Amino acid sequence: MVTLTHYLALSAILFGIGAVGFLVRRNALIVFMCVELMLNAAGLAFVAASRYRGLLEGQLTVFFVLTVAAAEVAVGLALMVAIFRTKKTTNVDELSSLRG
Amino acid sequence: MGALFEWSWLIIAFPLLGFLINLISTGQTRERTVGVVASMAAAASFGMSVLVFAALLARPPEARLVEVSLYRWAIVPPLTAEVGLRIDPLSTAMALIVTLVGTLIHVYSIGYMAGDPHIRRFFMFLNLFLASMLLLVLADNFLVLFVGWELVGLCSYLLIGFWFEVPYNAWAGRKAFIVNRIGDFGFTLGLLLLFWTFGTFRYGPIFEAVEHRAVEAGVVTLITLLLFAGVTGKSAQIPLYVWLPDAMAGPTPVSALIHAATMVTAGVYLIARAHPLFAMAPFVQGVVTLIGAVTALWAALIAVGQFDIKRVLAFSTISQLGYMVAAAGAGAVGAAIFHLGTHAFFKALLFLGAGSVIHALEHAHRHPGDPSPFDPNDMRRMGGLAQRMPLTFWTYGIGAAALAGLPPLAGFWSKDEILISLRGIGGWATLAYGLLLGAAFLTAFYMTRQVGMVFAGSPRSHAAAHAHESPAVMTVPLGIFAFFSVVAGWINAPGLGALSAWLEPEHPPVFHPEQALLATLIALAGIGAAWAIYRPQAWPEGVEDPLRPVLRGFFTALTRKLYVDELYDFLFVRPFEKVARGVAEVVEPYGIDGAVNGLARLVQSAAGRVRRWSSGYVRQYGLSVLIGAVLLMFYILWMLR
Repeated sequence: MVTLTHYLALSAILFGIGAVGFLVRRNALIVFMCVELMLNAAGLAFVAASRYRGLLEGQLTVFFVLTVAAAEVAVGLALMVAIFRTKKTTNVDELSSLRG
Repeated sequence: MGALFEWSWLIIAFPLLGFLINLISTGQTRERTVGVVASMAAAASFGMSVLVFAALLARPPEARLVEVSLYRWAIVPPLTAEVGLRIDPLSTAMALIVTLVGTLIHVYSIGYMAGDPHIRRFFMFLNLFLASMLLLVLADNFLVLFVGWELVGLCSYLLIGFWFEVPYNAWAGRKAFIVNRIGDFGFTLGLLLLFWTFGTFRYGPIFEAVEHRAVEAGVVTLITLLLFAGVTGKSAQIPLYVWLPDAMAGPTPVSALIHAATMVTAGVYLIARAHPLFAMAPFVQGVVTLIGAVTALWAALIAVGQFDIKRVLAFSTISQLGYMVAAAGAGAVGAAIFHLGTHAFFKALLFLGAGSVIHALEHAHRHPGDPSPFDPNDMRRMGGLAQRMPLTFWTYGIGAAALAGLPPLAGFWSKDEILISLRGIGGWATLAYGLLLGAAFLTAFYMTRQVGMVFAGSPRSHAAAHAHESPAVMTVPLGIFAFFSVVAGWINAPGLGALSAWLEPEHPPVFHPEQALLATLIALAGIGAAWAIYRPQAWPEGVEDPLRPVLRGFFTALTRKLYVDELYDFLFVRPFEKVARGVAEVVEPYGIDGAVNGLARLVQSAAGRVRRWSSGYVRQYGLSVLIGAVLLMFYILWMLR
């Protein structure tokens, strides 16, 4: 029997993996994927809660999140291509020209 | 006839129109045209004044007051500022004097200023002055009077510094402006207090309220005292007279028109206009009378020790203004305005005569091409001009005799009336009477000294020996002024009393034969004393001034104007400069700059610390966001517990 607790635990694990990956990896592409992972972890929590409570709003919210995520990926990947063309790198630690 | 008064604003508009025409006409206008346009504007104004005067004369005495409302200037409750004219005997008498003297001096200026490269500017200012003075005189409330008052001050400043290429002239203009500003400070306070007390600036309601004793006497005392501060500035009374001698830096027609005949009498006019107020403050009347009398004697004393032909006349003007102020202070408005009128004629005559002399000497000096510095105003370089400039000499002599108060010339009658008006009041007026008698002696003395130095004996310089009579455009106004200097006094002579009947029908002029005899004897004594010292036979060759051995050290003090300028310099100018320097060298760099720079340094150092947080590492920002999110989450959980 898979309960709501299981789903939320999985969501938390996925989110944790994404967060740690976001902080420790230097490749911009991987960082980007970690962000997506966190987004989807949040989506999973929404869907599970929605199903558990018998309400549709949670699932509806996930659609919005997916849409925004798609738009974000489009912009993000385009930015990354542009950065790679000018800087010849995707290492986020080397992209620090905005240092104060 | 009522319709004519509706057009009385034309008196002011004509000179203003002349000013505008000369302002917009191109620089190609011929020099002569400029002067003719300005003179015609002044003459038109005089013509209009005569018409208005005649219309007013046709009315019965009790109906001689017309108020013409022109324009609503501003409404700022509770103040409604309106521009209106008050046509009454006092204002029309003043307007007649101002426009007549003004017109003649405009004509004279065509000759005197011929060849000056800035003649257009000169006539523009002259026209503007005339318009401003007429606004001052004809206004029906204190606010518009103040506007005219300040405008004539501006014109005075502009014309004193007309030849501003010479630093002294520009300095003299500034001095006049600043000294007048000190008096005007009091005047402004007086006006504010006036409005606060009466709720209006208009003469009519104010005088009515005073008549019904609707206000406290204490407030009126303060108001009149403050107004008198303005008078001491504009009419050159102690302690603010020091600007007038330096105002002689301007062209001579300006000295005649503004600094002798018209503008400086604005203060006397103000006292006469605000007479109902002054009548309610006997203490201030005493102060005014005494200050006028002391000024009359003081300035006459200094005039004895001057060598500049125009400076003698300047101090004489201060002295004569003292007579008028003393009379106006004692409530003798008719006598004050009478003397104002006669003085306008003979002092304008004397100034224009002096201008004629200066003009002649300048040309005679320039003629042989002598480049050495030469002061054409210095009476020590003159002498013997009577034969070379007979017209100037005779007219000047008439003016001097009128000023000295010889019967039956103009000055005799008006001065007599002032002296009589001071008798029988007692107290300070008696003291003032004595002072004015002394001043009358000195007046006769310094005028005889001047005529002797300038016209008698033999020439004491090359220029004086080669001087020629001035052109007709200058001598004809001299003749007209000489005519008025003789006859102007008769309009108020005993038995006729036309001016008194016009100004204050309830006070007919009084005539005391023994007073007239006393004044004549004093004048003759002054003339005799001066002639004994200054007649050519008594004047040894090479002596600067025969009075010096008589008075010794005191004469030096007189030539230095009794050190009043030095005293003011020591008391006010230098301490003020010290304060200004202190502000510039301490307060400015350490106070103001210090505050601004300190603030900038504070922001800079704070920013230096904060900037380290902005490392540029995306992952560091991410960690910050995460930590923040976790903290927020715990906070929400804690809130929901």
